[in-house]
Amino acid sequence: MPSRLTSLILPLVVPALFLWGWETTAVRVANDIILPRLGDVLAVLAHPLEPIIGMGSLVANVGISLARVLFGYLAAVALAIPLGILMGYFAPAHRLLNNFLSLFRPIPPLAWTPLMLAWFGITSPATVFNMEIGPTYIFFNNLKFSMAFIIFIGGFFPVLTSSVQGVRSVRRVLVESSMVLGASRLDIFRKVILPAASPSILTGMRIGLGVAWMCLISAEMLPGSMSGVGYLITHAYTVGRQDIVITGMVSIGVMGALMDQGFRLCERRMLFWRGMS
Amino acid sequence: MSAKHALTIAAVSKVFPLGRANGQGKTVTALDSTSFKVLDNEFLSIVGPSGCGKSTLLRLMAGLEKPSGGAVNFRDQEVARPSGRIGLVFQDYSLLPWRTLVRNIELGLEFQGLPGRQARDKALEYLELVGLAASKDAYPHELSGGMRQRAAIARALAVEPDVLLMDEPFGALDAHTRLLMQRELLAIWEKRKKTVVFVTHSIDEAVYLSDRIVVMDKDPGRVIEVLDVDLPRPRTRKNPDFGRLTESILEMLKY
Repeated sequence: MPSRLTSLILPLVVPALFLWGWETTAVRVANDIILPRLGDVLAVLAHPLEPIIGMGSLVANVGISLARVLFGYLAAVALAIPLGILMGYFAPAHRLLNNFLSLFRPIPPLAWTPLMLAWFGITSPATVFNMEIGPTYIFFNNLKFSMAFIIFIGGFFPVLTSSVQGVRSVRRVLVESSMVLGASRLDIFRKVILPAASPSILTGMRIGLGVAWMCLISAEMLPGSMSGVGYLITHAYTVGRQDIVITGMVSIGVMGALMDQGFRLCERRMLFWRGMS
Repeated sequence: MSAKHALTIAAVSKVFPLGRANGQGKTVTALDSTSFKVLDNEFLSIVGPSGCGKSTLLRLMAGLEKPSGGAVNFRDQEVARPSGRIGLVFQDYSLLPWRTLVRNIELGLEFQGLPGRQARDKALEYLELVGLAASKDAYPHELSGGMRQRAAIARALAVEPDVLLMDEPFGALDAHTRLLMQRELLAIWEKRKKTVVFVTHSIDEAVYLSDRIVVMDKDPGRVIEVLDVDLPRPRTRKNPDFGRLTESILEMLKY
């Protein structure tokens, strides 16, 4: 079937052209610092478990980055969802907090860096809880509070906004029809408001995770960072290994896309009813 | 007194403030000093043009709004807030889209604290009553408008309210489905003997269904007449009295 074949091939055309253009340009430029060859990058990607430029393997660094993002992001979600629901549900809470929070929303997470360093320095759960030196210490010492905070800021606002919106846009007829069935306020909150707001909240969580992931590089450029894809990229740059820089970029892109797809899959599974009456 | 009053509407008025765009401090009178009684087990319809306050009246009876003046009483008790005792069926889209039909019917039973097993049995019984037993596991978006309204009626009936209020429940349905639903509603009403207050745009629908009809007019919203419908049931639109009554209501509304 030609149409089936076309639909399979069509999405591959632009990436193929892109790779071909990259390779031919790299051959013509013939300078690894400006543009490494495609093969050099693939060679690094092909051995994700081998140590590179004295920093451990690609997989280990991606894993550390992932742990950092989750640390900051989960904290953001844990605060933003209840706060957003509160602000969406109780108009006084919205009036109390909305203007104040709106002042912080436009500040890029990176702008917090100087304050974060002044407040948190290079502390981490490992230093705060006086963990014993060992693998656990090393793992938790990677989760610097300063980095987590920047990622936290990135993830916080999308989740907050969508939670507020989700609760506020619950259709009134759903609430009222439950009231006339004898629902208590708690019933309405648990059985109507929360499920009705969940699509919006989940979308906010997906967008928030994307932003949190994008804050990674800035977070991992902070002092005290000795690992992670962000640090891998800056370190590779200082030692002139652009192939590893690009490898790092590819890993960030792929991981981000995978997480986004995972979320979309969840959304489709759980929220098949969205957009329906 | 042979028939008891389920609901008493005594000099009820409702005034809404207008939005800022229409002038600060101005108000609109949706309902002006309205009085009538709803008898036990009767089928009462309220007809009138858009803006006559008939939906507002229904919301007041359900306890979703508070009157600006006067009182709505249910068996000598003021209706202060919604409760499971006075049910309300909305025009459309009131089912929870994330629940299957049977889970939607269970909703009100959950609010009553009925244990899961009993709630399920009762929900199935009411789905059976409205002829939707076969679709119990379907989601609302998979059903036609008529089926959704039947489910909404089943959900309202399942909590066994003393009064069932219906706000243009067939307003969004096509003409054919509407006629079928009218017949089904009457069948259910005859089976379950319930006090029904039915708001509709359609005078024909009101005459077909009701024991009595409250005719309302607008600017301000008020009752202009309460009529007895002395037509034998089951009714047929071929009956000349059916047409005469419809005509006389149209005249009252100056069409």
